[in-house]
Amino acid sequence: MNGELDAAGCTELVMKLRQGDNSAYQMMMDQWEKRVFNYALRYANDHHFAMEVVQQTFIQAFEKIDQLKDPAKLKSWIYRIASNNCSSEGRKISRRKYTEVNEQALSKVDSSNPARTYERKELKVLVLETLQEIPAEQRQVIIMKEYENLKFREIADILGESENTIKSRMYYGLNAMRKILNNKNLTKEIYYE
Amino acid sequence: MNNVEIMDYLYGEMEDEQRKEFESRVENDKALREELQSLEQVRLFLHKSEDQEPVVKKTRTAKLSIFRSRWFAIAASLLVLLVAGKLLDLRMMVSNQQFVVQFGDEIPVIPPDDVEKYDQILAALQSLQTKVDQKADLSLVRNQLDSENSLSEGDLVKAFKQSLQDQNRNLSREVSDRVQLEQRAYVQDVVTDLIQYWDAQREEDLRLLNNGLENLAQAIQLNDPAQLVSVENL
Repeated sequence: MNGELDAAGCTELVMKLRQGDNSAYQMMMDQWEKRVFNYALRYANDHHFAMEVVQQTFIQAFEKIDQLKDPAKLKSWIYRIASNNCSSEGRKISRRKYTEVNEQALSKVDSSNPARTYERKELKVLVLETLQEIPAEQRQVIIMKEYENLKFREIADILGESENTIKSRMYYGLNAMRKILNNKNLTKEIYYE
Repeated sequence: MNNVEIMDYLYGEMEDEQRKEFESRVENDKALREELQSLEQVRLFLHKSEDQEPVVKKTRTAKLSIFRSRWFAIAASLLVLLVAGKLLDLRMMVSNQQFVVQFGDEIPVIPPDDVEKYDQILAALQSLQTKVDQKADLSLVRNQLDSENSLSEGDLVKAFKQSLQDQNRNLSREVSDRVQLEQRAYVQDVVTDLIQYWDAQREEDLRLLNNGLENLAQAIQLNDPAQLVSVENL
């Protein structure tokens, strides 16, 4: 990723976008395409879904740039669009995804021998699968906090909730993940590998 | 200890003074310490997931997406229509400023002038067909024959054949009579027209003759040689 734009940089970029500058659109893509993609990928663990969300997010951002009230908050605004797209697209595939995840969880994880389980699949794949097993509201917050390095205040702004609500979701989300890992007998030794 | 404080501490979003106070509590609270440790382990686990590049993968999912696309549906529909059109010999054309869709060979278009004639012929054929239907009622014949109760299957066939022959003969006679009537009417019309024509010609000749005689009388009275010549020419 390129160096992250500060508030002044975001404001300048928004001005260019509103003037119809095509290079500004490319700049916006360069700045946040990878972030939005990985956000959506972790949200749904589906590559095609993530690409769909990226496409929709930037088309909507380009079309609705005049509706952005505070240009300095361009980054939060893009995450909000991406989050909304994930929720709406996620509803379409939720039934299929949860079925797949549950089947995978039952068939691929050998609770009597977690070492073998670990050998069979890469840990990063296991992370994505485990994320799918917690509620979407908690998953969104965990992804924004752990991978996008957003402040609780920023996440609250993006999701339109209070900061305390976001912190509670984060807390319960982490605990839910801990319980899932315990149920799978994935011990802390694996985390430090 | 509430979860909000734990999150603030875990993610470094606590003011210095508040953090120091929190840490002192952690030292004296084993359960809190263990909880923080387990949450840190979950965070370590989460960071085993690395960022990926947003490139279009040629995966099974991507391939399947082709079949889910709107364009694929349109193309498939067109293909089905093309195959169906070929099998059913679908033809589309513009004829007499009209867009025509038809299956199979072209249907001959009847000129408007001939429509009345075709209607008359059709009405005559329908009339004949009705008579044939009435007369060719096999069940009626069979019932009649059964009522006699003395005929074999061979006799029934012969009787039916005979009835058909009779019907054909009657039909032929009817057609012949109708044709003769039509011919007679036609001849009468022609003769009438010819008589009218001859009458008109005779009247015209008489008129010319009268004119000539009148001119002759005038010429004699006036003793005009030129008029006499023209009368002679008549």
